[in-house]
Amino acid sequence: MRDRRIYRFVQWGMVLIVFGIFPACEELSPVPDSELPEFVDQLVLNASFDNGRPISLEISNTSWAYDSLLPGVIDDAEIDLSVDGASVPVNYNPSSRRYESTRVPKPGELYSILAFRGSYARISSTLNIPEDLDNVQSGYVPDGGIDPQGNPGDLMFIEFDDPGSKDFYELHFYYFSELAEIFVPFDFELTDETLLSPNTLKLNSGGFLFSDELFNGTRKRFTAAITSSLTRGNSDIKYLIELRKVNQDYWKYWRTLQQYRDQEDQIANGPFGNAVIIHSNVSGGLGIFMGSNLQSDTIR
Amino acid sequence: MKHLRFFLILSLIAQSLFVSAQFNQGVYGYLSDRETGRVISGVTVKIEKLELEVVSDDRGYYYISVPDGDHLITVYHAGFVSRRISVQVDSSVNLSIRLEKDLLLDGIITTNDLISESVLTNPLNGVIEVPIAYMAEMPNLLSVQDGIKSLHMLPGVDFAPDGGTDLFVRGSGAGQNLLMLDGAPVYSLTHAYGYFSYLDPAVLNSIRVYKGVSSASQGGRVGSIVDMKSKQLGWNEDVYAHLSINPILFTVNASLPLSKTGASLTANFRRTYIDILLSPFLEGVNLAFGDIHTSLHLPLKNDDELNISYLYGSDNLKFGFSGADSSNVEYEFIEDLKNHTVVANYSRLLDRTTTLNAGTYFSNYAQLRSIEEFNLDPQPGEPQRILNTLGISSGEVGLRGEIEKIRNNDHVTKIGIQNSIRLLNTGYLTEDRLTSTGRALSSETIGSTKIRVSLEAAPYIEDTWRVNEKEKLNFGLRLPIYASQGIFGIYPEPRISYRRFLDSSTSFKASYGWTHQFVHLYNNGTSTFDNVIWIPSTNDLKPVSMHQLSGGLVKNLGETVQWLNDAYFKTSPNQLLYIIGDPDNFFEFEDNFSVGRGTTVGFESMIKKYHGIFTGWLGYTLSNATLMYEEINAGEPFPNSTDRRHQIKCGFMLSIPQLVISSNFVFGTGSPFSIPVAKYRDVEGRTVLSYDRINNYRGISYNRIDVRVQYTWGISEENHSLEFCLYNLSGRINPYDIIAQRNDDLPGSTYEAFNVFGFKLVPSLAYKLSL
Repeated sequence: MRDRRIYRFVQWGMVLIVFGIFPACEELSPVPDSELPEFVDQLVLNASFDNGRPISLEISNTSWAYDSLLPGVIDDAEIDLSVDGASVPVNYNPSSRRYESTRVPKPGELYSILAFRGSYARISSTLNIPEDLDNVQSGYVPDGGIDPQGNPGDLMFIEFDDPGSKDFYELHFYYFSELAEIFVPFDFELTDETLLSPNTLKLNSGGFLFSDELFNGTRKRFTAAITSSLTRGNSDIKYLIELRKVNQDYWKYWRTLQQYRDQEDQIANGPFGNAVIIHSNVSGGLGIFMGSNLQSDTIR
Repeated sequence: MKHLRFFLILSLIAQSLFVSAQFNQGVYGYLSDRETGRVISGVTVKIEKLELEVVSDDRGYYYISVPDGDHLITVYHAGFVSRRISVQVDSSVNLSIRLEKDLLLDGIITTNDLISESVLTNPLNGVIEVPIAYMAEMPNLLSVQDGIKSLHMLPGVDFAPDGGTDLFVRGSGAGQNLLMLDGAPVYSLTHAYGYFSYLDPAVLNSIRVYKGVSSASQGGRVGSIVDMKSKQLGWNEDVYAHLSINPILFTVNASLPLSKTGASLTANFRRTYIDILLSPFLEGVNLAFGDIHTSLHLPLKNDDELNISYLYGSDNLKFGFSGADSSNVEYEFIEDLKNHTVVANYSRLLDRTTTLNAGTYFSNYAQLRSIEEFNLDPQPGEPQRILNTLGISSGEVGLRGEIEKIRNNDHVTKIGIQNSIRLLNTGYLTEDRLTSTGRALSSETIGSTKIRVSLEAAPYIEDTWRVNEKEKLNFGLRLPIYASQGIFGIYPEPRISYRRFLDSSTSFKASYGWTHQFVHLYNNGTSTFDNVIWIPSTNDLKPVSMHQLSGGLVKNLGETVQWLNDAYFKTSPNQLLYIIGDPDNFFEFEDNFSVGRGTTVGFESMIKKYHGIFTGWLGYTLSNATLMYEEINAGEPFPNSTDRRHQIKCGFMLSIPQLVISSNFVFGTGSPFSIPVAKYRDVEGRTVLSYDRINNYRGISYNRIDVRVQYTWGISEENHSLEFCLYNLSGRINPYDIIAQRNDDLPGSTYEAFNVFGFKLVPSLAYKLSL
């Protein structure tokens, strides 16, 4: 009887040890506000210019990460935008909440921007619109490829001459969904060494962002075979291939933004663990001022 | 520049091969402890008249070349009574000597821990160890004596913030230390997700950490080499056994002399017992771990030796949990971790000056994790059980051989080769859908099983050259040849270490070394239960290289106190850092690394007293570890997560009859963390966080005091001891991480930052019975 009591006593002792000590392995205490990094409110510029759309940009501000205030769009900033030294007037559009112009950027143009607002520090940046690519050809071959299931599928292709400099690209293949009435990206068998390279970023939007490190100065061809079941029943088969030649800031911004989002998606506690600094080329503030040259082809 | 470096090394080797002074006779033998019979390495054997001096090797063997005639030989080693022996030499003389412990100096330290003299004389710097006897008496979390954790108390080795066992040496990562047991690599040494290690000091002879430049005969990791040697008994030792119990583990240890020639067997078994006691309370839950470490030492004829060691460790975790409130689903999580390391080393004295060392090993770490989903209300055609299993393993087989030649009193040359084949299974995930009777409805493998094979052959040559009475060099060239998945290359590793005596008690040291690492620890960092995945270098993930330059001063302050100082600069042009790549591409590890530059500069100072009733040390480290990656922190340098500017570590032990009182104190600058400063809109209008730079926030400083008191009493042949330990005596909150939580109850994506901290005051009691 006594032995049994001792045994129960030891058992309960162990329960207390295990439940008393190991839950203490991880406790939380708030970091006092006074110890958190100092915050200075800044202007944020977000603009992505390309040769396919009129100029549009957004000015907003920052807010403290530990504050309930969300960053807001600023509608009364003074903006001085110029292209190759000539001024480009922009006006605030309340419906889009963006500063807009009717001008469409052209390949090779260099844009500069200055923005002010009240007590905020002045922000500035520049961007270039990349030049056109030479000898771009695209098309599709009915049942010319093998889809991921091993069946014949329509083969889309695009090819171009890469300049000898360090260049960056974004590539998308889409099919037209009659059901949704939009162009939709699709998965295809990856065999191209550039698209398979660890340095190539597969975008959440389904496209690829890559550099010319594996084909610099040569003619390059990309192909994609679509699963026929995706377009079966469509009265009108339509494909869209989009190739953008992007500037380096565009490349860095999307790479870091995607890393940031992947990080945020993966870690339940938020992106504190492996922080990602999203690329910015805006002096005095945050955001991005980037350019691309879009060459697209819709194929029926 | 690279060619110039090789030329210099080769010139030194060539010069040293031809410049030598050789006498016609030799005095040789083994040096051992008279009381125990254990061999003593690092003993100085000196003939002052001829200005000759040699040091005994790891087997306690020495050879000194002398001319015919009468010679007065002095043998001395800290902690032992010096011997002066007159020898008449007209042919080679076998002079094995048993040294007596110096009772005025001797405390609780055993003979093999006495490296103070070799620290002064050895050209290698940054080599450091905690005496094994000290490890056994240090205060530890839950009174679990731990060979790895004791290293955290050394300067240059970052302390694990919260009872962990990871090693971060001079700014390097946890996967950049070669953990070597008797020459075999061990891929994981941790129990309970890192809170304890497999290594009980009771079964170890020594643990040395090579923080700086190692000799050419060692290599494989760019951070450090942790050289662990299993225990061997001396020829004069008796049977010894102990049983001990602490709050979570019981231990059975036995040391058995097998013959009077010194053959011995040492075995250690540990296992948790709380899982057994708690089983009535926690149905379906299990957390158990244990390990076995055995070592067989067999002296053979003609001074040959065979040593065989085996290390086994196992962790098992099982628990169940329910699905969402409304679901009829329950889950069971099972994890099974196992390590096996077996190694055999053979040593043969070919002649009085030539030794053959050969060895082979097998090491494997396997991790099997499963989540089984039980559908309590399956519809027709639906599986009742879905079993998801993740398997990962790291295996290595190796073979090595070395000829060590004492060419004369000035040169000891080693030529050898180390070969290894690594089979790294970087993971497979299977999903099996089963009926209630276990019949398979379907089976799918997600992420193909990839056994990544790599081969490494590393020939080397090194020479230890006593240039003159004051100067000594260790230099050599290691030439790893590596092949794996589209990569094949030769990666030269020149090493040079220099020592100069400034006076009889002070030496200056300087060294340079270049090392490569061909296997990398991948940490996906997304789970509390991080995977231990080792991946080989491939064409897409190049080997990591490291240059290290260091210099220091060692000074003996009297007979029992030593002061060590070391400054270093190390840089890696291709340091790997885990970043989140494509989250859907879990098994393509190369996509999830970024390559950049890592640099650490630092200074370490330590004063230690290892002999006597009161022993201890005081260490200080000043360091700055930075990383620089093109795509991280806008290409600007930022503090490495292992960076701490200042660290002070202190340990002491008071050993009087029946009572041992010991204490540790650690202070360190807080670790760097990344904390967002602001929120802003991205180009698509989504709110994102802004960091002014990576690791922009320095956590609060860390300090901890641990105290241990052990009382021993004896009843005839038995010794009983009771130990009381207080871990983190002051109960200080020491954060080891900072996490963010978005508070969805507040508007505007408001974040809150929290310090994560662990053990405050943890008392523990342990009992030990020694027979």
